[in-house]
Amino acid sequence: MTRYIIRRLLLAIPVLFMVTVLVFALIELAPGDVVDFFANPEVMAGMSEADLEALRERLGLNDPAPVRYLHWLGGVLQGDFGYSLIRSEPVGELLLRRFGNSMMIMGIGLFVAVTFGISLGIYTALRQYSVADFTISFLSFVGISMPAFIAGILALYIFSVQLGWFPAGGMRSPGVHTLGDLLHHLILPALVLSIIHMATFMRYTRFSMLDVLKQEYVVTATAKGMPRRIVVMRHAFRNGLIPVVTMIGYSIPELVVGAVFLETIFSFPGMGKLYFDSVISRDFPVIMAANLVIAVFVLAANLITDVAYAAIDPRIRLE
Amino acid sequence: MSPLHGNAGGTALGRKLLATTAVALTLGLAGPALAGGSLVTALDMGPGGDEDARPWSSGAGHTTHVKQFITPTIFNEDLSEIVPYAVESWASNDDHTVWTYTLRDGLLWSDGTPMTANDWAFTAEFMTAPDWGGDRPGDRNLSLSEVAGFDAKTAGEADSLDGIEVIDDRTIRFTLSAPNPRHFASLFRFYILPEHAVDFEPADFMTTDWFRDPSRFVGSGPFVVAEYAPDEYMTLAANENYFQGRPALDELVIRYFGGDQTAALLALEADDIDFTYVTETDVPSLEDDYDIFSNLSGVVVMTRFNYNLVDDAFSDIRVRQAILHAIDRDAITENILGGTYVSIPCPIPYADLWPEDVVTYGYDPDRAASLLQEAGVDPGSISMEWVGHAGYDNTAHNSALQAVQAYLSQIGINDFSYRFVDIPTFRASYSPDGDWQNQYHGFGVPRFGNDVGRLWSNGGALGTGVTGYDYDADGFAEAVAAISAAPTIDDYNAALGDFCRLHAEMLPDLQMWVGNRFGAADPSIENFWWQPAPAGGPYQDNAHTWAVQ
Repeated sequence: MTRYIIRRLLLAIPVLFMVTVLVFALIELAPGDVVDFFANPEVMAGMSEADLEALRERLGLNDPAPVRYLHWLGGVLQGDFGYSLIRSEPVGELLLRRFGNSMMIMGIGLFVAVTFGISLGIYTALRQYSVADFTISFLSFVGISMPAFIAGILALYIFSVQLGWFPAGGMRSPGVHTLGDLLHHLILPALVLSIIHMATFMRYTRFSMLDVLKQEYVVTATAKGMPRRIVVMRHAFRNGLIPVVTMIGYSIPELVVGAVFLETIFSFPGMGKLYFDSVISRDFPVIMAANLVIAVFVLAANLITDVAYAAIDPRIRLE
Repeated sequence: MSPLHGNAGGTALGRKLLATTAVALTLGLAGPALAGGSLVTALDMGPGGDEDARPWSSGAGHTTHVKQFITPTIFNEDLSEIVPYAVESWASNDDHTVWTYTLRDGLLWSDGTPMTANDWAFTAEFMTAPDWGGDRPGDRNLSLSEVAGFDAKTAGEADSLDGIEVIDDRTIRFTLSAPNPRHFASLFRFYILPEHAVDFEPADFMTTDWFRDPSRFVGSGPFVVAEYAPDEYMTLAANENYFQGRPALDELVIRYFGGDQTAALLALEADDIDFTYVTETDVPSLEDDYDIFSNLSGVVVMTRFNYNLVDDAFSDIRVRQAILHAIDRDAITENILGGTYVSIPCPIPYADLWPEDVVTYGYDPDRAASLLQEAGVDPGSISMEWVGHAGYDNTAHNSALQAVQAYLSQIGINDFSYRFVDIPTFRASYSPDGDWQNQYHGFGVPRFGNDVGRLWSNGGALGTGVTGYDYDADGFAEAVAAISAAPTIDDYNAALGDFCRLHAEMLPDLQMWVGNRFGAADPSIENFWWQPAPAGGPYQDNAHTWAVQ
């Protein structure tokens, strides 16, 4: 197992390198640069092309692309992700802050989604074609089908504007620095996020459990007179969990990527909104660093998922 | 005070406010009617905000900057005049090349240190340092590019600005490299910085925390920085030393919504905030419960054909005239844009400046068809693609452009398309060598200020290329020169009218409409004032009188 993990980690290095090269190339192909973003055509009466060229020179944008890439890579290898050209702060600090914010909302959302999604999946699988099964399945289809921004706006309108139970977005009340206030702001977006994921996890768990429950070893266990709870949890659930673990593994990178629409609607300063804003403003250092972090998490999530397979299913051996 | 509903009301209200403030200042009675309280706003929404909270290097955000710093002069409430702010008076020599300004007596920084002309000179030298690190030099150019020695100083060829001379603590003299009868109008974004408190180098302008750090920040506006939570909010506290008196509010909070108007609107309706910028489509559902602030934005929405750059049918003025005659702009502004826009004959967005005899090219599809016939142009051969930046990618403007598409098809122009792209794409693609040469976008045109004269200047450092006004047509240079040289306000307005007439006759680009912009405020705010100024002004909003019930 240890050798397997080390080998995967070593293989990740060239993958990460290729990711940075690819992302850099894509940024190069995109029209315009961050200086063009500064030159908003509505408010640009006072700047000349000479000013813009001087700015490009100062920011190093006139250097050949390979030079700029190597300059960036050299910085990263020394732990320096550079400065955000738009936000005027070190990219490392910026990412850390946004990453922390995303982790809070995505972490809570994913925890709730996994807990309730799997539970409801098992529940509906054990009661196939019951009223509860049809009701929960219907609601799960609604959850899967509803775009995040619609769900977010509806939730804000109902629970914040009409009922006043939750703040209408933001992460804190200005000047208030308590855990209670933070949680008060996190609950609604996290719940909206969890509903979307919960529906997916519920559907996968239900499908997988229905499949496993028909297997001969489950029938055998039942015929041996094992209590129903043990049959379900020890024999069926553990095997039925494998595809669900895959889905959860795929969801982990979202902890970093964030949920751009949800963060926008809830004016929540997470990674998703940062990434989106950075792309449309061509904030090259932030785009590069964010992609690198995301790539690391994707690779880590895949590795964790593979290791989890082995932990869940003794038949799987990682070599 | 009631909020503004319409342009005319705004002017009247502005005069009333100005008169009230002037009387109060004269009598030494300026001060709040109510005391205390916290006002939470979304001043960063729309054209008035910028989370960066860093004057001198900002595309917008003057609504916020002017809360923290005073400027020598400032727009009045409805943007109809430039009025004194930090200065008490000004005078120029006969040819308007030397201007002398006198600061108000008793101006203090927020830490109690007197503000002097040395602070003003320090700011000028700081902003023209060759290694100044700002990323948007527009305000610097507006404020200082006319000063003698600007080019040498910014190029590192001189140690100081030749044209700046401190006479005494309250008096400073500007020597200009060319005459300007309205130099005071170049100073409305000149945020004076405190020489004694600025502890960073010009090169570090964009990276310093000074503007956000309460322990280092020293300002002169009605409020000072009390707390900055990146991406979330900035809390400003009352400046006890503000020259018009301590603000009535204890705190002014500016919440950040990442530019998302829906999020800000929901926060307003949930009573989390007291004010935000809203769109014209939001107004009907808000006007019963909120005070709606509205005025012409001063942002002209236009499409530009740049016939100097393309060698095709549009080089014939009759084709350009036909396009305008073919589109019923009044119907579009009234029915599709909800009456919140008005069609315009020229890029001057203020109706009172339009000459009575200006050509307006009303809707006349028959005339359009005959003009094309006279020009010998087959409408089926005309290909048009309008490209707008993402700021206009909303339902209203999409519908308006679909209507344009339908109108043009009526005269046989069927190859019409439009698309919206992000700003870097827009900027990079629109050029003589770019893919697209027809734009659909807005442009801020302050009613009064040097921007107006320079906007259409072909030869100056400002405007050319960046704004895309690269055309060269007979008479424009003279018209622009007449605007710049106008010695009085009346002459200036008349010159703008002449320019408008010339523009409408020659149609170097085709003007569409200018829109109102809106803000919605909780009615419980006393004395609140907001104006949809291009980039947020700055303008006099008398924030020191704002109060909450």
